[in-house]
Amino acid sequence: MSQQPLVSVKNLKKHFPIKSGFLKKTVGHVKACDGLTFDIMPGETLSLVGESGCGKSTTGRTVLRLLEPTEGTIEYNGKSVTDMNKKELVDLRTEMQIIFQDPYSSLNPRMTVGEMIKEPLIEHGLYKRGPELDQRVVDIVTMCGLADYHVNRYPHEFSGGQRQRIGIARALALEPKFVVADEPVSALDVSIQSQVINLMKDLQKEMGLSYLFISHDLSVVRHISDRIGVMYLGDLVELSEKKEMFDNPRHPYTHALLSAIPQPDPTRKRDRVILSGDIPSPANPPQGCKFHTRCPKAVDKCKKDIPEFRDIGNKHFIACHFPMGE
Amino acid sequence: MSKNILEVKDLRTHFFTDKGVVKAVDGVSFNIQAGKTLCVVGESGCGKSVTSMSVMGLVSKPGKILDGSSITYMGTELTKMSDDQYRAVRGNEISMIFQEPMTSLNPVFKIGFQISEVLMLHKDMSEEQAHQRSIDLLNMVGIPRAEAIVNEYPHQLSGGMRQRVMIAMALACEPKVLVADEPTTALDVTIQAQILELMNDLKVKTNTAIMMITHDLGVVAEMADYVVVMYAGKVVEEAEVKELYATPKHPYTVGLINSIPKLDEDREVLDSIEGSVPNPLYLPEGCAFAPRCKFAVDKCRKERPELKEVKPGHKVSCFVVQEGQA
Repeated sequence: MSQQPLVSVKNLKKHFPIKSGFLKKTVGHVKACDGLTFDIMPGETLSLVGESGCGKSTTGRTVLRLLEPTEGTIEYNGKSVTDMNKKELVDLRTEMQIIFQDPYSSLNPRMTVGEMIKEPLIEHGLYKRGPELDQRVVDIVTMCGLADYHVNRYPHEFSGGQRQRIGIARALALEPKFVVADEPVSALDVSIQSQVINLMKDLQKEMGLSYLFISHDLSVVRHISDRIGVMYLGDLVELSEKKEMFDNPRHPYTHALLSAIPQPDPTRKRDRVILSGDIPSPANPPQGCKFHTRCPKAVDKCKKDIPEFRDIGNKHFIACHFPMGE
Repeated sequence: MSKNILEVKDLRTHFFTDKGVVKAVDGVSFNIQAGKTLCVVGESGCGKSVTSMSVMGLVSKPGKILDGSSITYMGTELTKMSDDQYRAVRGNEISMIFQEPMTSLNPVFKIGFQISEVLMLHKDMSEEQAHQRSIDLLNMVGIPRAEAIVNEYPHQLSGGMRQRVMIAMALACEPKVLVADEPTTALDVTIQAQILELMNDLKVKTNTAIMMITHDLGVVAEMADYVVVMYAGKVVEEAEVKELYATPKHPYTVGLINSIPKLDEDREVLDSIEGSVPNPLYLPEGCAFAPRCKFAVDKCRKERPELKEVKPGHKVSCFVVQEGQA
């Protein structure tokens, strides 16, 4: 591909130390994110999916350097984010933003919607207080499907869907290029969920945004993504274009994940793969392929050797010794 | 047709708050038969959980089940029972699985004790018998190393395991009716698939009637025999599951089904229902869904539609559908 990626992540690791005892000795590490490599193109949506505890949120935050990476590099537009100092990082925040999962706890209850959206604009020196700023706030708010009189209200006066729109408005006020959306719709009802997804897609087209969309819900992901990465215990196990992923999932975990989703169609009978057991603790992941304890296809080799994350053609990457359909 | 185990007629549960009367459940009727699953679907705030609480006799002040409401279990009226009488039924004949397996187990008691307690109380078992039975129950719900788990505390288990413990506890006395309030909402999809399969197996094995509350239409399609769709405290549509998905009638049901992103089709824009659920304190005059409904006519804004049969076994409360204009 000739195009330059907007965000380029190489071998990203984030380990959280587990401290114990009186002297707070480090007794181990939770490897929340353990060597991820991916690119995000301008205007593209890359989704990370996985179950709770697979490290998808940690990845999102580490990419923005809201968490310091343990190892690896992150590049934004060719510049290394990992080497930036505080000042440079603050400037970068105008181009990278985040939408949080919980629209109830991520908005300051004591600020009006207008104040909340104005704050970053003033903080980054883009606007001074005045009618111009007020107009800008009204523009953003209406773009996100709220009404102009909403700017003087407080978060508690809004419903969940509206709050998520405020969260989106706040993130987009600075006209960023890259937005990490961390489960933006999982706290919402289905009918509202689809409103918010449609809004996010419209705004993406209008503003040319790139999204890193983090979700546990594959049906939502199918709707919004261009490419999808599936995570399991801190590793990317499969990465491919959306259509390819749904038509031809190659990793047994992706396969099981897809078959586990209840479909709104009572007449359909499916071959369901039900995984046994739970996700192992990320503090003490299994040797070899981390998925082997739950994998229906696992053999001895899987218990010993870590599968390499390799290209199997057609922009499809997978980490498995024995992919499905081979 | 088999006999109704549980009959709910014209259930009205209102909350008398300082700000006014919230009609959380307002005239809901349904029946459940042995070995069948009834699903109650709706978005947050539509009164589905209050319905289940009413059946369990767990509505407390300022909530009140109004006179004229009737809940009969095998011919016995439950709403007229004293607290003591109710206690003999609850957990014994009718039991419940809650949404949050994290918060609904007592953190300071061992798993074994929490299950045994139910058995000792309702079945007059000795401590030893109850302990043995607890192990059997844990085995039945697919918990490995049941002998060890009985001596562990809830925090030592994962979410899926805790939900299995909840199910074991609910089934301890072999209830005739199992009320499950969003039993898998807090769980990951692969774990959800395990729990749903378990519930379906147990239903067949024990011939228990299940009343399941959920917002997920995918789960409904998988579990239900019969579906009740609620909106703002009222039933707007009810039908057999296949009938409902094949020919949804009420504009709300149609909207709900269309707003789910589906795994096997690509759509640019998701259908969504405009607006959000009305404040239960200030329900609109006429049909509560009218402000969000595309088909609403003048009559809808003035009069309340009744639930009427439009096809054998398929009831809808909508003027437009009843009068054949849709």
